[in-house]
Formats: sequence, C-alpha cells, structure tokens
Amino acid sequence: MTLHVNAQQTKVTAEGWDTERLHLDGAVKDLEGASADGFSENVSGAVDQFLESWKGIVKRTSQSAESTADGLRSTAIDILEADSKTDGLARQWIGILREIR
Amino acid sequence: MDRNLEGDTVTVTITLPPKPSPVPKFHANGDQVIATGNTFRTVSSILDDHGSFIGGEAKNSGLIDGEAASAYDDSTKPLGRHADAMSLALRDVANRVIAHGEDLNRLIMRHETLKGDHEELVRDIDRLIARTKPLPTDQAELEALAADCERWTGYVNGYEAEVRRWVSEVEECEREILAALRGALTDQQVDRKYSGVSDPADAARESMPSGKDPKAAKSWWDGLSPEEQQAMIAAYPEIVGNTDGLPASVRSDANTIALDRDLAELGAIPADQRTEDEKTRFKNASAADEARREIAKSKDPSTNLPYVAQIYAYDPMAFGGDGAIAMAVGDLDTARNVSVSVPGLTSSATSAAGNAQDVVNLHQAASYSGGSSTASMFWIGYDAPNGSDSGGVAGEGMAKAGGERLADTLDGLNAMRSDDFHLTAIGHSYGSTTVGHAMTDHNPEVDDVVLIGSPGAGDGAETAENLGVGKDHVFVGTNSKDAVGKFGESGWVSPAAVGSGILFGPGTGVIAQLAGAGLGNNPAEDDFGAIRFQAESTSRGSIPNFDDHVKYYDHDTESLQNMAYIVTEQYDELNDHRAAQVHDPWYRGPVDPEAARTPTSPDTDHKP
Repeated sequence: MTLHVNAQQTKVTAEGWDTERLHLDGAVKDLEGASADGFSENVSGAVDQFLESWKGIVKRTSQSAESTADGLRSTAIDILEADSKTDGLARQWIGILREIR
Repeated sequence: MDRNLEGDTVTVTITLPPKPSPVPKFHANGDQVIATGNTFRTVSSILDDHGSFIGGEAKNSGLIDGEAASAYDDSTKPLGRHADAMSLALRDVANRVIAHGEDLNRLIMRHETLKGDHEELVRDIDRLIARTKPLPTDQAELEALAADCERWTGYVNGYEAEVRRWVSEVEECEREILAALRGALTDQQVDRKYSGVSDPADAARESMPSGKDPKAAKSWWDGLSPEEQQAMIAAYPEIVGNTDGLPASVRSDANTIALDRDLAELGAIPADQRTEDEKTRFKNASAADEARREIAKSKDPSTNLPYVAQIYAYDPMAFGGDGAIAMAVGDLDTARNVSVSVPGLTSSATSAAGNAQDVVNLHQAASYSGGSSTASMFWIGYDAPNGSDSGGVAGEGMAKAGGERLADTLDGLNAMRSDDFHLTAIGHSYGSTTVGHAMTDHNPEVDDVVLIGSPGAGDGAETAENLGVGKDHVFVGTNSKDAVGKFGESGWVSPAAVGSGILFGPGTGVIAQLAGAGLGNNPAEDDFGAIRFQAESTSRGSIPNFDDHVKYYDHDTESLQNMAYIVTEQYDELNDHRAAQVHDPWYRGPVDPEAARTPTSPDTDHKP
C-alpha cells in the first residue's frame, strides 16, 4: 500500500519550522536587548513604541512557525493513523514524528 | 550709549552687541542609535532567511494527500509573503535609523561647536562691556570700541542664524525618523507597503559577476544604486562580506549582520539540541564575537577612543568547520599603511581573539612610533595546520593552498583602493611559508614582506629576490632561541620533521621525514639575502624552545617595534635595529650571532 504522506520529508520540514521558530525567538531577544538610548527626547517615545510593536510582530511570526510545525506533524499523524489501520510502516512513523525542538 | 566729546561736536554712538541666546539643550548619542539600527538589520536578515525558508525548503511538506497538501500551501504562502514584507520594512527602517545616527553624530559635533561659540561670544561681550566702564575719553578709543561692538553684533547675528539652522536641521532629522518609525508600526502597514514588493537585492545579485576578479567585483559594486547596495548587504551578507574587491567598510557591515544573526539564531537553540553544524557555527561565531570584543577593549593612541573592529571576512563553516575570520583595527579603506598578519600553526577561527590582540599591539606600536595612519588586519583565511590536520605543518601543501587565498585577499585590497597606499604582508610561523607561496606563486602587489618565526619561506623562494618585492623589502625577524625559526635550516634530518615529532609525537615526525618534510630555506640566513631585524626577547630561554616562538607581537619587544617601523615605512629607524644574519659554515652547524647579543625592551605601548 502507498502511504498518503512522505513521513521522512514531513519530519524534516516540520523540524525546519521548529528551527525557524527558534531563530525568530533569537530575533525577539535581540529586539528586547535594543533600546531608545541615544535617540533625542522627541524621538525616543516613538522608538520605544516601535520596539514594543516589532517584538509583538516577530513573536507572532515565531508562534506561526511553531503552530505550522505542530500542524504539519499532527496532519501527518492523522493521515498515518488512518493508514495504520492497514499498514505497519505507518504505525512506525507515528512514533518517529515527534517534536524534538 | 552716546558720548559728546568736550569742546567738540562729534558724537560717537556705541551700541553694545546683544547677548547671544544659549544653544538649546540636546541629548543624543549617534553611536547608540547606529547600534539600534544594526539590531534592526540583524532582525531583518533573520526575517529574510525566514521568508527564504518558506519559499524554499518549507514548500516540500511531505503531504501527498491532495486536500491536506493544498491546505498547507494555502496557510504557508501568506506567511512567506508577510515574512518578506517584514524583512523589507525593517531593513528600510534600519537603514534610516543608521543614517539618523550618523546625522545625530554630525549634529552633536555642531552642537558642541555652537556651545563653544556661545561661551566665547559671552566672554567677548563681557570684555566689551568692561571697556565702557568708564567710557573712554579719547575719541580714537571710543571709535575703536564702537567698531568692535558693531563687529561683535555681526558675530552674534551670525551665531544666532547658525543656531536657528541647527535647530531646523534637528527638527527635520527628527521628523524624518519619526515618519519612518510610524510608517511601519503594524502588520497591516507593513503588508500594505511592502507585500509583493520585489527585493532590490535580487536583481543586484543577478547582475553580480561570476568568478573572483576583484576589479570586476568592485566595478559591479560601484555600479549599484545606494538602495541596491544596502539591500545586498542586508539580504546577502555572506556574499558581500567575503567578496574581494568590495570596500572594507561594506564587507564589515555585512559581516556584522551575518555574525550577529548567527549569534542570535544559534544562541536561541538550547545547547543540547544543536546539530553538529550548528555547534560548529556557534563556536566560531562566538570566537569572532570574542575577537571583536577583545579589539574593543583597547584604545587607539591616536584618538584615545576604543578600537572598533572592521570585520573583513567571516565564514564560520569554511575549511571543514575551522572557519575563516579576518578583522582589522584602523580603516582598511583609507589608511596610508595597511598590514595583513597571517598566523600559522594551530590557527582557526577559535584563535581569533589572540590574533586580534596581536594586531592591536602592532597598531598601537605603529601609532606610538609616529607613523602615519595605519590599519592592521589579522587574516585567518586559509586552512592552517591545526587539530587533526596538524601534521600538515611539516609540508607545504596547506601553505601553497593558503598562499593562493592570501594572494586573492591582497589583490582584493589593491582592487578596492584607488589611491596609493603602503601594503605589508606579515607571516608568522607557518604563515610565513604561506606568505612566501602567495608571493612566489601569485605575485600580488605588495610593498613589504615580513617573515617572523619562520620555519621556511616556501620552496619557491630560494632567496629574498624570489618574493618579488626586491630583497631590500623582505624583512625577517627570528628570535635566536625560537625553535621553529630553526626548521628552515639544512641537515640530513629535516628540522621540520623534528619539530613535528616534538609537537605531535615521534610517529608524526617520522612520517613527516619520510614524506620529505621541509618548508623551504631559512630566511634569516645570510644566503637568503633578506634584511634581518632584531627580534630577541628579554625573557628568551637559554636553549631553543617554543615559548620564544610566540612573543613577536608582544608589547615592549624588539620585534614589535621593528615591525611597526616597517609597516609605517620608517626604514631609517629600522636601520639602527638590524640584526646580523645566521650563517651556516660547512664545518659546523648554523651560527646565530644574535644569540650573543643582550636583548633590549623598547617601549611600544607607552606604559610603565
């Protein structure tokens, strides 16, 4: 029987999304370390606002990456579970497709 | 203030100048603002990578089921578009913030000047007022006072106009940056302005010449618009940062982004979850960061300000993970004197901090020696013998390959500069063999060659003349007790093989001997014909040893002082510090006259 998912590929791609999430968390941390220091008084408030806003923007992007990774894994597992009723290989892949990062 | 002079009808009117208004208070720091801009550029680069991931690797989800696969596509495509838009938006803001920081630095300097002008005017006007108490009775004095008051009124008016101009420029500058910040504050603003917009970096990348001709690279770069250049730096930092021929400041901006991005991305991954490649990249990025910080700890004697590293090359995965890093103190784009220090055995990215200290010392010694502007770079840009390939120190293979890369780097420095500058290549230890091969095999345009602690100048250099710069421009520093400096001597057992045996075990030494170990002639010998300079150390050992091999860049040593003279073209000064060459009579082993001389300790750092 042919599986409806290339589980190895899904594993690699989902891990890629996990890694992206971590990279984006690193970006958020960088923004947290930035400040309005050095800007003139008339500008510093806007810089604070900008930093606050972009921490949120990048954090949401990170969360999207995380949920895409989880969604991809769970979709693959759903498909494999359906397949596993008739295929032993699918049962093996369900165990392998777990989140590492 | 009028005065009628007695017995005369002349009236002299004296109008005191107005008091100048104080300069408005202004607190800002352009360098801190630029640092914030650099953070934005780094984050923009991470978002750019994220967009590339979504548009590339992430497309292959592994889902074969049609409905699931298209649901995945439908959900990820907008994420990719948004990531690209975010990257462009933040890059734009980053560039404006950096430009704002540069503007602020200029405005701060003018603010300081205006404050000085104000103080001076107040003092001058007080003096004028003092001249009116009491008013002079002499007509000539009165007329002189009136003329001075009129002149200073003009000065005050000019000052007030300058203050108004400065205030207006500050306001304009603030308006621009506020507009940039407020125009990219939300996801909606970002998507509206940047979604679907093509990245100017992509077209610029397409037009980049293939091959490694540094002149062609420079010409390509000069032909890009400022917008395309900034885009290339942010989107392709690995390429811009490591392309010979591009300006050093541009390479440094790009390498700063790549380094900070690696530190941010990999630092966010828990250490126990990093892959082997990630571990290597993070280790080398951390080493580069350490070198950068090491440089920032020291001060440039000519400005008394902390040094800022110019990152000329950064490739943490080069040479199977050994990494490539080159950093300079001083400005490679503009300095009259440029030196490139090539380290030897055990060099890899992780030794960058030690090499950074070496070039800081050289730069400081050059400054204190009264040389004109200097930039000193360490170059870990070749696969030097270290770790598992340490045995390579006994042969010239790695030096030959390294010589080719070094010649590319030297050609790149020449291509990026359109002015006449003085270039010195300095090779230490195995790095001197690498410099030798660069010169004999590829003939780059170099003014002076310096070989220190040299185990041999490479098999292409029978004599100094073969290095292509004229024997009067080949300088050699060898401490008489430096064991490695004796590797280039002749004998039935290769000293290089003996050295390998001492360093890495007898087996390696035997293998090295059988493999025909040897790194060429000893450049400190009289037959070689180079200028040998004094390079003894007051702490030298009594017998040949390896400690004396690593003192050449130490402050207050003969070698550092003499290298500073060479790098800054002060050849006359060097003449007083020449050393007698090693000679090798047929009836006995080589004789080094320097062993009998008492070493000196010149003051190279002006510290007690």
